[in-house]
Amino acid sequence: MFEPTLNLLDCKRDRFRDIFHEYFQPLFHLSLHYLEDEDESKEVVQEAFIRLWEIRQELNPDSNLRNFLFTLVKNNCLNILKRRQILLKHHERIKRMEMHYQFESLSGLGDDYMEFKELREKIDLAIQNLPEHCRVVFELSRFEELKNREIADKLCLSQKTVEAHLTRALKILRIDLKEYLPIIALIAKILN
Amino acid sequence: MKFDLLSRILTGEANAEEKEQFYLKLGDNKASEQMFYEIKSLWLRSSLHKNNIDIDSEFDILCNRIIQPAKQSSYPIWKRAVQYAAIILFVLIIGGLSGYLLSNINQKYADSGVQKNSSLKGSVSIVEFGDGTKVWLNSGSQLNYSEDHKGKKRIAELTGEGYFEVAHDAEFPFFVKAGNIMIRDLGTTFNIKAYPGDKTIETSLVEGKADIISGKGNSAVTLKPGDCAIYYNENKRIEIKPIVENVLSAWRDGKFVIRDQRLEDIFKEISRWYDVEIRFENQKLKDYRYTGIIKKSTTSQHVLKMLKLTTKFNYRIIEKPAEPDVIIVY
Repeated sequence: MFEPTLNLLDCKRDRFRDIFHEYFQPLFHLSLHYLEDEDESKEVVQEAFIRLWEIRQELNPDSNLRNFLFTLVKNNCLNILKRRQILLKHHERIKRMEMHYQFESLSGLGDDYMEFKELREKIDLAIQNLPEHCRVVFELSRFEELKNREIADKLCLSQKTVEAHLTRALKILRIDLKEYLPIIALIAKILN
Repeated sequence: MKFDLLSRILTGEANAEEKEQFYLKLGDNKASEQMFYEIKSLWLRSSLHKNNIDIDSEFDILCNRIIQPAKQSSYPIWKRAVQYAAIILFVLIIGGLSGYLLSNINQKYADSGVQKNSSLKGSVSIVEFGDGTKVWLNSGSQLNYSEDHKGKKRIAELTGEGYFEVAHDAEFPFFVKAGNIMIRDLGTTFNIKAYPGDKTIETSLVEGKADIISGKGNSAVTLKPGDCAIYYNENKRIEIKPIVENVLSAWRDGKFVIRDQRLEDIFKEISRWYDVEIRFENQKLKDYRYTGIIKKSTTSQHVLKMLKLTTKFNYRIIEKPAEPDVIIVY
C-alpha cells in the first residue's frame, strides 16, 4: 500500500492539499463518531493538519503521515472526552458512563483504522453477504442514517423487528470480520 | 449484553433509562464489554464512505489559519477564506492541546462555622451541603456558608457566579448575600452573577419563588420563574427581564454563550476563565458586538483567534511567569 511520507510533502502546497484531501474525511469521521459534534470534530482535524504543517521540516522523511495524523486526532479527541468527563463529574451519571465508554472504546481503537480502503472492501463484501432483510435494514440505518422508527415505517415492519435485524446484522458482521477488528486491551476502571 | 438495547445505543435512539440499564450491565462483565467495543468499532468502520463535508472549503480555512502569522499574502485562497470566515457568526472551537487543568473543589471548614468554598479560575465546582442544597460555582467564584441556629437562617455569601438548587425549609430559610443585595429563597432554583467589578448583579429564577431584599431589609422585588432581575450597583435600580435560558445553563456545561455582547464584556468572561488580564489599547473595539457559542475547553489564544476571524483587531501577549499573562488588544 502507498505510504505517504514527508519528503514528498516538503513545503509543497499541492502535496499538502493532496494529503489533506486524502485524510480529512476519515479523520473527521473518526472524531465525529466520538465527539458527536461537527464543529468540534472539524476543529480537531484542522488542528492536526496545522500541527503537521508547523513541523513539516522537522519530521523524519520516513514518517508515516497516516499514523501521525491519526494519533494526533485520536489524542485530541481523548483529551476532549476526558475534559467533558471532568466537567460532568458531579452530575448526570448516565452521561458520564456514556462518556467513559466512548473514551475507552476510542483509546482501544487500533491505528489500522486508517487503512480504510482495504477494510472498506472487506466490510462491503460482508454486508453484501448478509441475509436480505438484515442487509437492507443495516444499510438504511448506517448509510441513509434513518432512525429505527423510520426504517420500520418504510419497510412496513415493527420497530422491534427492525432492531432485531440490526442486531442480527451486527452479530454476523462481527463474526465475519473478526480478524479485522481491533484487539482491545481492557483496563478495568471503576466509575466513581 | 442486552442485544436489543445495543442497536438503540449505537443509533443513538436509546433513552436515558435504557442507557443507564445498558451501561451498568456492561460494566459487570468483561466479555460483553469487549464485545461492545468490537461492535462499536465495526459500526464506526462500516460507514466510512459517507461524506458530506466540503473538503475544499475546509482546506481554505486551514490555509487561512496557517498563513495568518505571516501577515497578508496575495495567496488567492486566503481571500476566499476570509470571506468565508466573515460569515461565521456561530463559532464552535476547541483546542485539544490546551494546557490548563480543571481543578476540584477547594473545601475548608473554618472554626467560626463558616464553610468556605471557592472555584479556581478555569474550573466549575459543585458544592453540596448537608441539607441537600447544591451550588455550582463558576470560575473564580467564592461562596461562604454559615448556619445561624439562633436566628434560624442559612446564609450564603457569594462573590462571582453561582447556580443554586436550594432545599427549601420554611423553618430555616436560605439567604444569599451578593454585593448590596440579598436573595431569599422560597423553594428555589436560581442563578446569581455578581462578580466584583461588574456593573450589575443578575439574579435569574429558574424554579420556585425568590425575593430580592435591598440593603435595608425590605423585600424589593419578588421574582417569578423565568424572571431575571438586573440590579445596577450605581443607582441601585432593579430591572426585570426574561431569562435567556441558554446562557444560564451554558456555563455549567463548559461553554461561553455570547448573545450580542460587547467585546469588553466578552473579554471579561474570558479573563475570568483563563486567568489572563486583557487590556484594550484601542477603546473603539470595546463596543464591537458578537454572537456565538464558544466551548471553554480551548485556549484563550484560540478564542482570540476565532473572534479575530470576524473583526479586524490585533493582539499581543505578554507572558508573565508569576502572574496572569496580559493580552493587549489593539
